[in-house]
Amino acid sequence: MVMDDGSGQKASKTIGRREALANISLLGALVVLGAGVVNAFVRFIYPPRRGVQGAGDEIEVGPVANLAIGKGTKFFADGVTYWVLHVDDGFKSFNAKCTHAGCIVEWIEGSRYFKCPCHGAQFDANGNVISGPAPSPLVAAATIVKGGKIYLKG
Amino acid sequence: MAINGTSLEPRPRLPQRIYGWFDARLGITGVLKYPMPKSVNWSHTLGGLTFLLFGMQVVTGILLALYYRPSPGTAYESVRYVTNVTSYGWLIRGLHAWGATAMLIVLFAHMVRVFIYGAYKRPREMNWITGALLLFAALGFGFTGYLLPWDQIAYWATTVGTELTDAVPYIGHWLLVVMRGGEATTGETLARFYTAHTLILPLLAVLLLGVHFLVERKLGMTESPLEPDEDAGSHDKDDVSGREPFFPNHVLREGIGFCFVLGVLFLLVAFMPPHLEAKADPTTTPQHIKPEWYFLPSYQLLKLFPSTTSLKSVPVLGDFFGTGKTISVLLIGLAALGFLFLPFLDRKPGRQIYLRRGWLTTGAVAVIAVIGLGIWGHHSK
Repeated sequence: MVMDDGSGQKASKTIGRREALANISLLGALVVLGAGVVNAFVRFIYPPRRGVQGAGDEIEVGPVANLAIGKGTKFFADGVTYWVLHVDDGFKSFNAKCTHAGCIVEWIEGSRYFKCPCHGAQFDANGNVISGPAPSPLVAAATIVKGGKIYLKG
Repeated sequence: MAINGTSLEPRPRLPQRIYGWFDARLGITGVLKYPMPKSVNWSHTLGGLTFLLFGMQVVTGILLALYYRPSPGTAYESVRYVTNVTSYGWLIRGLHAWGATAMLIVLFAHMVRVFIYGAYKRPREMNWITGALLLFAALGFGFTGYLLPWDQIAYWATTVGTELTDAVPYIGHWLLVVMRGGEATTGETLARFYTAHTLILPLLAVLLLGVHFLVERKLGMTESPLEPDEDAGSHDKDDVSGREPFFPNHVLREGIGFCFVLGVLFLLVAFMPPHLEAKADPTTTPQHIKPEWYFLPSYQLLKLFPSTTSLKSVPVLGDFFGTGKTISVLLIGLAALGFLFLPFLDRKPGRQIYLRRGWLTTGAVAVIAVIGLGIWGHHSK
């Protein structure tokens, strides 16, 4: 390797095998250490999944008798808002989050469809997109009716 | 004059000696007497004004932090307490809220001036890049600060705003969860936004400001591109003949500008104080939620594209161009990158107006498009 010795004259310096190996080892150790720190940092800032209810738990919504046909009720659990509907073919539940921008859709009882207050997306009683900017249907949640009560499966 | 080796000059007074001690070590006189460009004018105060407004945000922000409590159960109540109960709390909160708007307007204007002057060209690339990053940081301050009152508009504007990151191909959902501290906007989000607003962004801003000022002092301010003897480089900062010093001339100009802005802010706080809507309710979104004015262009851009495109089911391409949301997020990202790396896109030397018609037209179209989208977004339903 040719190096400038500061006097303006070029001086050549050869790095020996031992020195080169030492440099590579040092660089490798620093890369491994850096990768470990970055990995720990990235894992730390990604929050662990948490919630009162465990996955698959049944969450009680309320008595069947409180929800007449055509009616819907909003239900909030573990940071998620759900719509529970009683339609002609039974009970249905959806995550109330609009698939466009995350606003909470509202159930329009008279016309039996969901409407998003933010950008006007509309969904039918099955959660399918009718109109507006939503790219996909509402996410359905499992609904269970037993003992005269409605449950959501989380 | 000296007789028998003894100086007859009067010994400097104590304040002068103290100043001299610091000056010898910090070079204060060099900073104060720094020669301004020949073409210095009021538009050169915009950068300094932004800095002064940032200082005001720091001071009012520290005062607000004395009372603010960042949790969903207390945030809203603490903001209401600051506004209605503490002495001058309404004024400090109002100055902080309107100060953010003023700082962004002045910062935009500063960057437009820098663009027109071609002051991003070699050797000032780093000045432009740090300035652009400071603009992004200022938008970050606005976005994270907006959530803190934890009212309905704050909660839902943040929910809709953060939802956009989900559209970033491949890493979008990871980003969303990291930003919110979970899937939904919760107390975790509030803690993260508060941390970003009061620790991460201020630290970043101070570092960027340090580099920005260092480069500016090293290279000198740019002469007007209308000056007949203007060359591609800077004015010679060592040539002080016929030039105003930074202090007191330019500092006075900046002081007058700041007093004027402060006067306008006082009037705005008095007659249009910042609102506090109903407390955040995660189960009900208010009608036609809109972001702060500086995010209206991107909000409107989002609405211009169809919800899905014919490419949605195409592998890879569908990840990038399958939904209108992804397309608009990519466009915003591209525009931001283009803005950041402008000095490397426009590499032709020469800053005179007549040499840069193409870039000046592009810049004018971009500014008109952004303002137009913002106005459209403001009036759209």
